[in-house]
Formats: sequence, structure tokens, C-alpha cells
Amino acid sequence: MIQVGTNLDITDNSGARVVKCVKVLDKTKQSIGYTGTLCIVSVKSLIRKQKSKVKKGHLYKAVVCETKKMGGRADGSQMSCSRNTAVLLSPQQTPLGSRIQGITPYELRMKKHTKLLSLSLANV
Amino acid sequence: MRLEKCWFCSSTIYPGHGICFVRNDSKVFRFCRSKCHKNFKMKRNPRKVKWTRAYRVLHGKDASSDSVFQFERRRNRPERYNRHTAQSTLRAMKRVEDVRVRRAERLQLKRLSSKEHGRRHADKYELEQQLHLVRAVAPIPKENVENPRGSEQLKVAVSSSQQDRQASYA
Repeated sequence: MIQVGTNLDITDNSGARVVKCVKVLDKTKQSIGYTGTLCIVSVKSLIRKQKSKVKKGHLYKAVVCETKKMGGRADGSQMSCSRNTAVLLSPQQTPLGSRIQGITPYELRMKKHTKLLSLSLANV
Repeated sequence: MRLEKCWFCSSTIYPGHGICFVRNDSKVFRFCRSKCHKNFKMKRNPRKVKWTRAYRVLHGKDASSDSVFQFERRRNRPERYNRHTAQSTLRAMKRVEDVRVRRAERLQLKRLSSKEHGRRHADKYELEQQLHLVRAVAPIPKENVENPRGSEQLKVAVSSSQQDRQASYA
């Protein structure tokens, strides 16, 4: 359950370490993000300053990959993770990083983020 | 369709069942039901819990190193589709399952045979040592059956004839 103010770990190599959710881009009233939801995030901390593609304090689009909250899936099973993670995107919704050090859920395929699925370690 | 194995009890997870948990280091744990998920959350070791497959294999209750298990293994390399291969695989699956069942039965019988020997030994000992508990049953005399007042009947002398006895009662 990602909402405004939630801190998320970044699993790609764009350079950001932790981001904070500023807005959940969905059309529901509750505006709570699950796996595969688009968010606008502000970068809180960086992994390394010199080679980073992103800047601290700037706003980016991001897609949620893992959530601590157990969520139902399309096939009826359930999934939960031990942390909240996201992957940064450009304004055109293409990935900023070139590698993802974490899992990507298959919900991303339904949202047509197929590029992310090919970059990740494992698709769950 | 991919059938996964439960991390805790090693049973098959069919699509739409169970819970998947992803740890910090991206390791994926799949559980067939909430029972296995709860046991995982309690940090129980599946090798020490009696109903799991890991325990049974470790303690010689089930076969572990059998060639039939080599067929059912996760292969990360995708096979190129071939019609003949698919058909022969489907045929082989039935055959492998038959062999697996037969070998499991044989192991079961082998495990039971040692128990059977012990049971027979115990029965024999009981029969030899505790025979006095069994009361011998004498055959019931014919006269007793005919007459409901059996106790009086028994006092009659054996040498007397049937007619004499009937006369005395009348």
C-alpha cells in the first residue's frame, strides 16, 4: 500500500537509493498504490553522486515493484515482499536505469512495462 | 502452466493457490497453504517438522535418491517445442509415475516387514507365557440341553437308562 509520503527503495542502477512518494497516479479515490502502479516520487538519497543519472530533490515517475502489504494476484494467489521498492522512469515511461537488482512482478506486463521485465533478475 | 514446489512441505503448488514471499535479497519463497506460511513465519526448520517431505526423506521414511525423481526437476533452459518430443514425454510421464508408485509401495512393504517380525515375536511370547489366562471350555452334556433345570439333571447316575430318568421326573 503505497501512498503519499511512503519511502521506497530503488532497485535499478539509476543512482537513487531512497525516494518518497509524492503522488499516486491512479484514478481511484483512495489513491493507494500496489504492484505495477505509477507514482511521482522525489529523490531523497543517492547511491553515488558523481555517476548518478538523477538528482536529489528532483521529481521522477516511478513504477512500484514490491510491496510489504500482501496483495492478491490475477491468478488468485497472493504475494508479499519484505520491503517497498520501485523503479524510476523517464517522462516517456522508459526505464532510467539499465539493470534492476530485484524482482519484477508480472503485473508490470499487464501495464505494458515489458522493458523492465527484461532488465530484472527474476520475474515473479 | 508451471507447477511450483512448496518451500516448507515440498508439495506441488497449482496455479491460483498459495502465498509467495520475496525476501530482501530477492529470494522467492512459495508456500502451498497458510499452514506452511505460518510455520515459515515461526522460523521452523522443515527438516525438524515431522509431516514435511524434508523430514521424511532425512529419516528414511520416503525414497530420496531414486532415478525417477530425476525426471521431475526444475530446468531453467527452455526446451524448443517438438511435436514428437512432446508426445513421447507425455507417454513417458505415465510410465515414470507407475514406476514411482511401485517403488514407493516396495519401500513401504520393506519398512513394514521389520514391524511384522516384531509383532509375530510378541504374539508368540504372549501365547507361551500367558496361556493360563485362557479358560478351557468343556463340551456341554446332551441332557443339560434338553432339560432347562440342568443342575438337578447332573445328579442322576450315568448308568441309569433314558426311560428310568424320564419316569423319575414325571
